[in-house]
Amino acid sequence: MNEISPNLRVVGRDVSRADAVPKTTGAATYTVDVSFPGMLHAKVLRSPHAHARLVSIDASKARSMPGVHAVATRDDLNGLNPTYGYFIKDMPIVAIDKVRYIGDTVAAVAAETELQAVAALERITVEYEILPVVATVDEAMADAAPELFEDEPMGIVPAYGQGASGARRLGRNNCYRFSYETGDAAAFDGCDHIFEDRFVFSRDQHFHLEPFVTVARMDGNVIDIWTSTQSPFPLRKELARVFQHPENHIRVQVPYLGAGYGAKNNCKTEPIAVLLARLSGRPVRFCMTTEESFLTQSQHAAILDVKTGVMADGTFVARSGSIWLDSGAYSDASPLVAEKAGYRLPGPYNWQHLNIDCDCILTNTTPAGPYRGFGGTQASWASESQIDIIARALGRDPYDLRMQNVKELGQAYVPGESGIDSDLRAGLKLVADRAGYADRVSGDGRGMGVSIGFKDAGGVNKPTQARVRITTTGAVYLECGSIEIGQGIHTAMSQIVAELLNTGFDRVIYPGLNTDHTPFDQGTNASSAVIGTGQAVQQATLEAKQKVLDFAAKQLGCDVDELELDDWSIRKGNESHPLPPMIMGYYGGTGYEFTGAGFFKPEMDHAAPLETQCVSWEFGWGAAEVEVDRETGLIHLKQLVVSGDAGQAINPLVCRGQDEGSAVMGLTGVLFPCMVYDGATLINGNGLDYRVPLATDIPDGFVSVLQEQGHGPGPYGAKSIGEGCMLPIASAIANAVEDAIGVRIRELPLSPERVLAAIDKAGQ
Amino acid sequence: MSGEFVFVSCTVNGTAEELHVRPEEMLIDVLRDRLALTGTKLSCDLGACGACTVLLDGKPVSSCGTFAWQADGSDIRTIEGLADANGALDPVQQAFVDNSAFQCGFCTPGMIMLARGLLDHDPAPDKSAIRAWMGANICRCTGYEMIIEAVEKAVLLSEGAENE
Amino acid sequence: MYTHSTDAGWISRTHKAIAPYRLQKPETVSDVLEALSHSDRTTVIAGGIDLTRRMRGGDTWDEVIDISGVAGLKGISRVGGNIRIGALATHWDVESDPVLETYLPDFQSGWKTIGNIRIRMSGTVGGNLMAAEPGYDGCVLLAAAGGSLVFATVDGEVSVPAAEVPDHIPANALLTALEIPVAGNARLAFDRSLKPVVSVAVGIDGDRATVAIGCTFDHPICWSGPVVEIDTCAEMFPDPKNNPMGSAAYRRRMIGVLARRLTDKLKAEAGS
Repeated sequence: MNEISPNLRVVGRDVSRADAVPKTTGAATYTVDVSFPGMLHAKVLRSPHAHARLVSIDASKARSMPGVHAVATRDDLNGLNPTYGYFIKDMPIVAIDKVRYIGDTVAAVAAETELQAVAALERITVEYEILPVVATVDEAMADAAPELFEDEPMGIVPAYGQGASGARRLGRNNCYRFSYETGDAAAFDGCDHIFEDRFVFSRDQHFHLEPFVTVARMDGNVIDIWTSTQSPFPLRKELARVFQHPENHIRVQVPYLGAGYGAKNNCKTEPIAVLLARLSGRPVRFCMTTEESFLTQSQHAAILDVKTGVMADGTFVARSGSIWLDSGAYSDASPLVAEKAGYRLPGPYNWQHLNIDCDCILTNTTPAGPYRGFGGTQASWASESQIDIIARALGRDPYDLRMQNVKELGQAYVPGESGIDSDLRAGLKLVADRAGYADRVSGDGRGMGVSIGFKDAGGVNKPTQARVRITTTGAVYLECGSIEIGQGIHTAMSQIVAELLNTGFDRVIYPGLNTDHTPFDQGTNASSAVIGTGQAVQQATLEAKQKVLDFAAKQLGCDVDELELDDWSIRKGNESHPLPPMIMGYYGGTGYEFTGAGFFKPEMDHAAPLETQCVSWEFGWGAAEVEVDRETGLIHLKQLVVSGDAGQAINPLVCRGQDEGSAVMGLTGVLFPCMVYDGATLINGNGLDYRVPLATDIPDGFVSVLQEQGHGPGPYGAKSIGEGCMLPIASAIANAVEDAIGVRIRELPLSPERVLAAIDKAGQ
Repeated sequence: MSGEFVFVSCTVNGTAEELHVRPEEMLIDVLRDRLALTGTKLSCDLGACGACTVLLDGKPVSSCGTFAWQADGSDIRTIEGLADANGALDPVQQAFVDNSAFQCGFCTPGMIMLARGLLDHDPAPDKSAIRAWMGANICRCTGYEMIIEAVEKAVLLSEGAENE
Repeated sequence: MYTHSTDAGWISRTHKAIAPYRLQKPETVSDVLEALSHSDRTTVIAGGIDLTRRMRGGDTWDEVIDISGVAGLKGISRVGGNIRIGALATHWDVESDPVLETYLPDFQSGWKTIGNIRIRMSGTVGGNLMAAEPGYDGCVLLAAAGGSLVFATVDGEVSVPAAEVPDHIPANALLTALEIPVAGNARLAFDRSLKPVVSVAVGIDGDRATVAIGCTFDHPICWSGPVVEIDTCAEMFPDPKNNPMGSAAYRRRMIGVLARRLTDKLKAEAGS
């Protein structure tokens, strides 16, 4: 399966990252640094109303303002397919019939300076007809609620496999439902206890420090864009459809990303930048502010109703669930998040029956989309909270109840699915022991909680390719579509290549992503790079290596099995044959390149609920210790122990960074206010008021422990490590709070006011 | 429009610079657009995140909220000015490299300058002093612990270099 | 929210859209006052942290007066029974000043909680006070310490107790100093753990207490009374803000909890 060397030279080492020097010296180029002569600056006008019909828009005065080269309103969309999206193409480049949230884009201007662009936008007059607003899921689903989309937008329901299904428009503002069912509902009848709980999850914003930004220009008839995106190839396809332009006349180039965390998938700044570039004939830079990020994409808030049936001895039997995702004003990736929130609600436990619906409800707020955890964060919040509720009702320790019900290594997640590829008990024991769970102080304001955060890894049906080229002198090109968003993927993939080729890490270069040259990849998301693209990279490397060996065998007149590749020489027994003269001897003095190609995609399998089996499973084990101030409700985090299983860590330090970074990101929605809405108005959507964790928020008792259990599908047994430790944080802390003060809180964030209210209620 | 320029004389990474700037021109734009020092990044544009941190007379400041004229007569250091003429990294940079104390890297120039400012002010801070100082800047990727350890390592690297 | 509105919509500007202005650099306080009298489209800048934020959000000024070079506004000294802190003293100056360490140690340690190191090294005490942001707590601590804001006007010096801000702030004036009575046996404690919902500063001098509340109202509000009445002082305050960040009821309750807690802490320290 995997070519595992007995003594790894490069893989498994803390090799200095390939991007270390560029990023620590200021030399690294991001899309914000890209500039062209004559480049214009784009600004947009955003709706001040949460819901309104766009009666008229007059940009005539703007067009003649100084420095203005292009203005785009709904009157400038001729010849385009002006709406985009994932399953549902409902998002217009600029508002066409309505505006659906405060911040919805109404018009765009490209001018020589930002001040000129702003002055031009100020000259645009708009007549709005105010419509009733639905700011929450409950308001949006009410009988008389106004529909955000009176007419059904173009969209699809994908094919699903065993037990899974999807549907559109099942109710007011319900743009998608994902359902999963297995086993027999009668299983509930045999249960000794039934638990029904509602959990509420609040929405965060990604807060990637590099904003959404694109520089677009026309290069002859080629639309040439530099953009901060995680998924350049789907973007290319979508832009081709929107602009009615051949795919191979669209060039997407992606340098380093100043992070994305899922926000930077599908169209964001690209359509407006391209439109203004076409209208003006000049390069156009559209860079959003942080405030605009809050008005462009967020995580999904959710309501999760979970009904669980168990036996008196604690055996889990049946679970049904209804989840409502607050999708914001446009569907964006909500149907995909619904798939995963619903599919992950069972957690890594044994069930006889599952029946879960997850609905995407549109509201007049910022569109919600992919966010690290992707439904798994919401699902783990509910599932891992309820397990503690069940445990305490049964008089059981929550740790023991998990140990009793958790799946075994290799056990299929659900019928037709791939098997769990981590030893779940080992991980839970590790974090619990490290935190001192067994001997913990429990009660009187101090307590501990554990949680197993859970998601599938690798995405759904994700195709990926790779190409490896080796030159005459043994210089290696690794070409694949994985984007360096901070996760260290350039480094990890280069380590894999270097290991397989028995060469030095510094011999491998990872050229910049350019859709004209880079092999196809579906996107840098879903914790899929090492386990998916990594397999393609491995295949490509081995193919290139085989070509070198076959060539050498022919030159040396021997069997290829007698030969080994030893850096850039051929070893045959005791002999060492340098490759450069051998290559030039055959191919001429100008040399040659050996090329290998690789590919990976899970096989279609209708027995698998999502039409392909999940490539892998990602876990984040967490143990939290808190002290609760019972007069103020303030939670003091004393310890937070997190652990992910990297299978085989390609670069252990990089893995540690992923575990710790995702855990701290997971704190955002728990101990801090999240995105705070007053009706449909966001009140803390800027860098000063939105509260992300700071170094001073991290207790001395925060630690990550990396596991390498070795069961992963990636090269050398590698597994995903990008999202897992985000998932247990909320429930581990809520579980610790219950351990500390005997009070269960089912709604995030765990603000002091909310905690105090729960204390008051329990005391009544 | 004011039409008036302000004359600014300062040093940037050891090089004397003389510029005429508009009163409303920000230091970050002088650095990025006029001096081609694009290592310093703009993010929140409110002085909250610190991605734009540079050292102004040894003090870490948000260059997105400092007018260029406020730098008149000052010494400015940016990320580009830390490595020496041969490219040898400053101990803070080296520690960030060795400890992999970065991920997407967008906060990293500001974070390194913030740390450089700390060690210039106090060559041997303890962990809680490091945490308190570094709490000024936002990193969304790392979870901070590896950054704090890098600053601790930079202290050791600096002490080692001094002892040679 | 730092976005700029027209009737047609919101435009989110960067600092590059800050409108042009004329820069003045006077050297004396009277020159500043003269410049301020030109029009109401004139403002001062010290560190600039707050002004640049507001200008980015769309505030425009014809003239901006850089007061960083004006003599006599930086020092921290004892003047009779008071400590004077020049308006241009940075938070960093306050944190490390030996005069404050001697005469106002509680004030000094409370002031250390204001801002991160970037803010503390460039931001001035005057800037913090004149920004008048509900979340900026300088005025809260100053009020609990019984301090005043000292303004220079064309008619001479005007002193406004911090507890009365924003009332009585003279027009066309320049904040030149903070004035705080030397502590003597008076104690001061500050709790900002519940920011941005509520912050509480308690000053106790003998049997007299002052409780100053920040974040919860548009500006700091104080209560003064006998120490024994601290337990009920929360009821004396007007209705706190009620918004999704925190309800009025919670804020009022926390005023009571934190005021009592800080008082108990100071009493315990006095007893030991």
